[in-house]
Amino acid sequence: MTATGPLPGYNFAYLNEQTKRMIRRALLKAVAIPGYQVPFASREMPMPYGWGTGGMQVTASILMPDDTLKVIDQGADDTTNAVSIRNFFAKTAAVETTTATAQASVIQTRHRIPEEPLREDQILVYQVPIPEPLRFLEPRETETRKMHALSEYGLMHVKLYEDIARYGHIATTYAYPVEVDGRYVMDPSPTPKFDNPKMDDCAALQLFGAGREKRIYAIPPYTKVISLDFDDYPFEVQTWEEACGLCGARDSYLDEVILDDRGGRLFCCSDTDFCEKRRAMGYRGAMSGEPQEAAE
Amino acid sequence: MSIATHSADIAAGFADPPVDSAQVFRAVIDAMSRPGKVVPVPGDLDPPAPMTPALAAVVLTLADFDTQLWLSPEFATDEVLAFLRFHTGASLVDDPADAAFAISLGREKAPIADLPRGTPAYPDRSATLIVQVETLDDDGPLRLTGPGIRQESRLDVAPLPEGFWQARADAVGDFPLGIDVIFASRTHVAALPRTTKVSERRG
Repeated sequence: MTATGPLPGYNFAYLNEQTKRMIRRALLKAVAIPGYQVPFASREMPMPYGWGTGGMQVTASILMPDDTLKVIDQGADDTTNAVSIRNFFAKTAAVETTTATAQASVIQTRHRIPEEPLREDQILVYQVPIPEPLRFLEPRETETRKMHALSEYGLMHVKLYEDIARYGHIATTYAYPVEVDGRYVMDPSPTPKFDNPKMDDCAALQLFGAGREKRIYAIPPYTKVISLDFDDYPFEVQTWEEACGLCGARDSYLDEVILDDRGGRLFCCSDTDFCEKRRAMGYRGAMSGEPQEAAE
Repeated sequence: MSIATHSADIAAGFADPPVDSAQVFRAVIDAMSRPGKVVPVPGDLDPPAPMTPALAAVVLTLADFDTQLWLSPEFATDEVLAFLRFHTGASLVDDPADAAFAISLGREKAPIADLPRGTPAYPDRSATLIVQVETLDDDGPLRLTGPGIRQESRLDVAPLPEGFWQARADAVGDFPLGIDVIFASRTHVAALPRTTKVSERRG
């Protein structure tokens, strides 16, 4: 093993080969049955469940030495979870890492889809906490499995309807259920519904791993993904009156950052790479502390 | 059935299994997620006849002691059996209904109707048929549509036995139940998940 290779004493990409084969077989069935949750023998990973063990196992099973890996957590490359997972694979698989969406061949994500459209040569791996979209409506796995088998999704529409009855609109803002290729209703993981349209007809392969719940599912490229709605209450994404305070973007998903206890707040892009790239191109927001030369 | 007892009788497997199988798997999942795309399979295996390097690479990447393999008569030679037993540890089954992977040669009749298609609750408990062929081209008489395909893709695959496409259509007609097919030539793979609709169009 060379100095630049993976950490001595560890198999390439951490997992043992039998585990990877088991996950790879599950991944192939997941791709063949879009939106269906394939059970798999999830392993212990060197971090607690809930921190992306499912996504990591999928990433470990697809990674090749010449991949370039990007990891984001709520759109950011620089949070603890993202940094730790990126370092983990830099050590155990000796892959290149990047924060630039365009340079990555594999992107592992917690709860966001990059703003920049993905390409055919990229794979997006989602960390999923609760893969079953029907779980909060029906706690029994035996029943939800039957409901999926029978395409019995009426309950989900009742849930969305109750939103309308109570709030006057569909108040579900994240983990907004989608229908994949006209068959399975799927949980897109807790991404904001702002990202749902990006799943539809996406050029990249999308893989989902839920470690604690031991499920893998997938959306093949160019697959129809529809957010559930009603004719008179069509699906809508979030909008903001503000632009990004740093880069001035009006078309990206914004985080609200509280600045002080006098009502000061900053709205800024949740996708840090997207925001940095725009600022590098000269775009400035109202709170960037610099003159707004090229601001929109 | 005699089993080769000397390791010298058995052709070598992957030189670097973690890296080689990762690269082969990416070729396979690329093919499975983009039906009709003909993807090169890296590696330099020299498996016993009639296995091609690409077919052997796919089997060594996916099969192990957790999977049941069904081999067609053409593949059930002492050398192939010894090779697969040694490198994968997979159990070989006589009944296609027990198979996770069924492997057949293009001109042979594949037991498509007998392969497990999964259950409504667990459609993933279904077989993957791996067919070794001579010709694999992403331009040809077959027109493919479905998930993974932008508008339509084309495929030429040969030789296949009479009735193959009808048998495959019957096996995948009750989605989500079905079988998935991987074609392996000497150096490439292509795949047809159960979601792909195939129609023949000459010219």
